[in-house]
Amino acid sequence: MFIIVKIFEIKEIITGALYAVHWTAEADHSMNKMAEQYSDAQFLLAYFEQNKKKLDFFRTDVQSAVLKTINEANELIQQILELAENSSASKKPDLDSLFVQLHKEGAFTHHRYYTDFKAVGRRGEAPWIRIYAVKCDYNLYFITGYGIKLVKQMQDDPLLIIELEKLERASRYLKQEGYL
Amino acid sequence: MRRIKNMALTREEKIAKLKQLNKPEDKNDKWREIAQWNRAHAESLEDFVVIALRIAEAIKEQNISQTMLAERLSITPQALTRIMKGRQNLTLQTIRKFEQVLDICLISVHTREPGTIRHHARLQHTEINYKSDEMPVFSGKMKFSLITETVSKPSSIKKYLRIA
Repeated sequence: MFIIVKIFEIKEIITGALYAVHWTAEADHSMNKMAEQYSDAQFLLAYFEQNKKKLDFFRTDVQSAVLKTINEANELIQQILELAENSSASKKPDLDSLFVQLHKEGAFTHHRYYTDFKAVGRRGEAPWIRIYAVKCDYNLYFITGYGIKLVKQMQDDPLLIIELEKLERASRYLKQEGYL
Repeated sequence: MRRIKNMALTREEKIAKLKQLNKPEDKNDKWREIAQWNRAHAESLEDFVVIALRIAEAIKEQNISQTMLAERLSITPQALTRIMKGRQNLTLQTIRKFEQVLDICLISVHTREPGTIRHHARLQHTEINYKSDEMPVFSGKMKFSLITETVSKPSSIKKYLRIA
């Protein structure tokens, strides 16, 4: 099982708007890792072979799942690249349109309802890629991780439970540092 | 959105603090390289992945290792890894090499029956029917299909005549 130790560093993705957390137990920051893994057919093939049963719900096979994931991930990183390219000191990207609240409406009693966010691919049916982030201010986000959500609730997938844990730890760290 | 209470720093202070943490020389933008590569190869991105998956399937079926395959193809294991990841702009020559070594079909080019085209192209305004053996990349199975094209301009007919 993957062990999260602590935040190693915070890397800039879009100046003054988007940052990514690099965890000590991971080789790179979350944005780089997401882009690399979700554009790698070999990595995804192994992932979906392991999670083959979960694909039954989506009525799809492993190979189609790989293709769908690569397309979805590409769409997300192209969106972020466009935002980065079109941003300047005077014109900030609109990240508030990219990220949506992670906890469903009505779950505002959740203690991180106003800080836990996710970015989801907009095109295609039932997008399953998620980028998780902590919102620290308007248009200011910290990417803590990512995942492929093939289950109804994040709690149903061990890898997504880790993502919830990362959100929790990042929130705590960002609070300590005065960002939250 | 409700304003987050007890914020220690203002937005400007937060950004100033983040600027201090992120020196330009420490930039690590691999995601950007991936995004730009994807953009540059947008039309073929899916093809690279489908080919990679078909190769992976053949390797599994034939029970051969990637090292062994790299040797047979006379390419480096690193080059093979890039192809298997779907992150390599493949040349037709490389694709044919894979087809030979693994005895599979990855892509096919439409073949025309010159006689049929020449016959129809004699007409000023005509419909050209030609048969082609189309081989879908994904399944590797043969599929027979009939392609119909309507040619109305004499220049197009000339083009077909040249081919025929």
